[in-house]
Amino acid sequence: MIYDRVQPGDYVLKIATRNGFADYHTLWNHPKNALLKQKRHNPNTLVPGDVLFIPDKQQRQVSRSTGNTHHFAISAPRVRLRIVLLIEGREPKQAECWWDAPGKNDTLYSDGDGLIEQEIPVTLANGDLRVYDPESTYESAPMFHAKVGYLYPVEEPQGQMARLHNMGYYLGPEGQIDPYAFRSALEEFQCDYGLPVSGKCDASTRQRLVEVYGC
Amino acid sequence: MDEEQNQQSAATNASEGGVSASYAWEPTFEVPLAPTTEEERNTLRPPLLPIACWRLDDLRFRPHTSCPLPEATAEMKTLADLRKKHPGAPLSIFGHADATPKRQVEEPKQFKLIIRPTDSIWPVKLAEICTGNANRYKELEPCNPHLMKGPGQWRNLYAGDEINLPQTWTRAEREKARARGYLIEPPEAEAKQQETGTDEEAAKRFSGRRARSIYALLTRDAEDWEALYSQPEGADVWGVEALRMMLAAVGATDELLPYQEDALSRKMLFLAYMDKLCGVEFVLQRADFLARGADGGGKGDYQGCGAFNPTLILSKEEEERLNQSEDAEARWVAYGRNRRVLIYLFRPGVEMSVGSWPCPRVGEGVAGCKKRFWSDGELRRKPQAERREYEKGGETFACRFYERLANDSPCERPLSIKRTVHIRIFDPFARPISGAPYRLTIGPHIYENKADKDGWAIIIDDSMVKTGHIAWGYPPDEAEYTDRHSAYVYQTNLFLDPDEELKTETEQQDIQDSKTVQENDDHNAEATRRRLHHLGFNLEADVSDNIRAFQRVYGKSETGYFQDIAEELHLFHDLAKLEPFPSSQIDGGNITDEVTV
Repeated sequence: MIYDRVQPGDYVLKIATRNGFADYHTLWNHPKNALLKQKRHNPNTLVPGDVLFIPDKQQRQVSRSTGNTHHFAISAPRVRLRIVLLIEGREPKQAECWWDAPGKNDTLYSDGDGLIEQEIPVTLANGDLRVYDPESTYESAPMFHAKVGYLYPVEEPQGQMARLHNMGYYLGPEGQIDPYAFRSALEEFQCDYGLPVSGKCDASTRQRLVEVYGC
Repeated sequence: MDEEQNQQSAATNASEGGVSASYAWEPTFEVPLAPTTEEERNTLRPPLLPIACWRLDDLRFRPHTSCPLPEATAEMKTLADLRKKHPGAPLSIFGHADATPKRQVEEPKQFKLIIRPTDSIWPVKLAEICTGNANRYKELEPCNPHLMKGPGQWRNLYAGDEINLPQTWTRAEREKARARGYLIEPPEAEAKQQETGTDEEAAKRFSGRRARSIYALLTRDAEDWEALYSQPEGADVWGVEALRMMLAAVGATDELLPYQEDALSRKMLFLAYMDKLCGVEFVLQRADFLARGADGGGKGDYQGCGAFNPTLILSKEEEERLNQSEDAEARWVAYGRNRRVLIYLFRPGVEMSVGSWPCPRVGEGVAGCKKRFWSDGELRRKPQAERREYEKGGETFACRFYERLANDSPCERPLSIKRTVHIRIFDPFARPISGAPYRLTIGPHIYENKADKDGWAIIIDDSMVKTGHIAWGYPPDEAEYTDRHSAYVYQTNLFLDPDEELKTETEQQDIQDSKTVQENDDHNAEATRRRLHHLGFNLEADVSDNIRAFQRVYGKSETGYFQDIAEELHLFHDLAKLEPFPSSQIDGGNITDEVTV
């Protein structure tokens, strides 16, 4: 029985795997993590410094005959990246992309809603998604350098900023909150989605941000 | 894109009438993502940010109008270069105006005409041209006190002099003067009565017309220029002088009348002038713009921001001074930098659907603009205790959407081209005045100082204007002049580059080749006149008479030909090695010692 402090890039499934749990629900639904679950809502958006209770592993005994080969399969949830890709000013449409990550390169196609799905190993921290656009050159095509597990909860200013940044609203320095650029992004988002334009990330703005962004 | 990246903007190219720049950034974005085992998703969208920008300043348009001047050729060339550097980059045009106070709707009381550089005119001649009766020149006197030396005594008239025509002359009579080609008319005078609407609506329309004008220029849409020409709005009246200017620019010597009367001829002239400005190679298609020309009203491709995004807002105190000023042009001059046309170039492949573009069409009102205001947008628009400038973080843009596009753009910063002006100050007998106190006015700047021991006044100026004014006198400690130092006793207007017009013409080799000898002579005569004017030989209306005066003073044969004094003028004027007048001339007392314009 230990406590694991969340590191940058961590999410519950990753921590569970690191600690030898096949099913992250064992951790996330543990009563001793109820407060964290209530605070963060989403097991995939934690904040470095959060503390997760790691319960003792339960031993399970299975009887099998000797002299034969037996296969044991562990049921574990698959980790995916689900991305809705929008190009400036256009309606979502099918797009061709190139996914480049350690151990796996792949050509991906978004569906009519712009959605791309890619299964990833739980250990993956980085990957590049380059969008092919018939009118773009290789150099001018947008390229997203994905940092998996680094999205903070929407309750955190960093999480608000990251969502606004990913959706093209926040134009300030990446990874830092520039108050003027942050306000500009918030107001623009509020304006786009019919919210009162205040420049403040109130509860209704946060809720809308999660709805529009997708988590 | 962060500020640091933006400050790395590369290849900024500034000219007298604008700026162009390419941004040093790549569309690479670091995105923190959440993985999922369920149905949550991340949404990625690159920000809509320009990769290059281009600006055309107010001075490249005919004053108060949306008609670009021939001098805009230089800036169109930089735009063509920018497009070559960024092939396939879609463009969007943003016109900007300034907040001019609502004009009174009233019948103009006076009609102002300006003498063109190549004209020589005299009130008697003007009266004869207009009314057919030379004696009616007396009707000009009451409304032109600034041109009179005394009752019934006219001073010499020069290029740039403004003549008010009396109300007693009919419009047809005034038109005769224009048709003969002697005079040009500022469009504002006759257009005042047409101006309607609120300030901000009028400003939006005007900025939209400028954006539309540039869009039409780039796409060679003569129909659109015809609409701007035939549907004047407010003070934006292209009028006959725009046609005259275009004819001169394309080197045509045709009569003006057919272009006034026939829309088809006019469109052909527009196309020829457009080619002249841009070069025949540089033509854009509607599909080259951000919304691909999908909207008939230009939505996404060109728009007018009105006065909502100035780069300068004066302080409350400065505003009050302007409001109290009787000089109607003072505000126009003070806010000149706010009137500009910006073009942003975006990443190739970016295409804006008309429905998702927030800016209203140029033909629509300001409501759509205001929807995109900052939450404190109205406060931003108001003058505050201190003057505010965009480049100094002054938060001058009311429109948040535009500010996000501009994003500290190098094209939204003022020009910082400085020039050194060398002026040597002489007394009436061509002797340098050591330590002469002077007051030099160039555009909005006034420089008051003393010349050095050799009479040199050297000023570093960034106003970019072509003319100035200098007043000077004698140093108070100069015993010889102690009775004369109480004020600036001399004054004259200045041409800061006497060859300015010649340069722009000669740079255009194809024009030069087609010029007649007479045209070249006219330009040389004008350059000579300006130099002689600086040297005080400006008393006669005809330049050849001034040349003769110069020759007389320096003991040369009086031919009246500028070729005969070219060498001396270069030495005396351009190198400031002015020879003192021969003593016989000084003693003779036939040289005036006041040089007044």
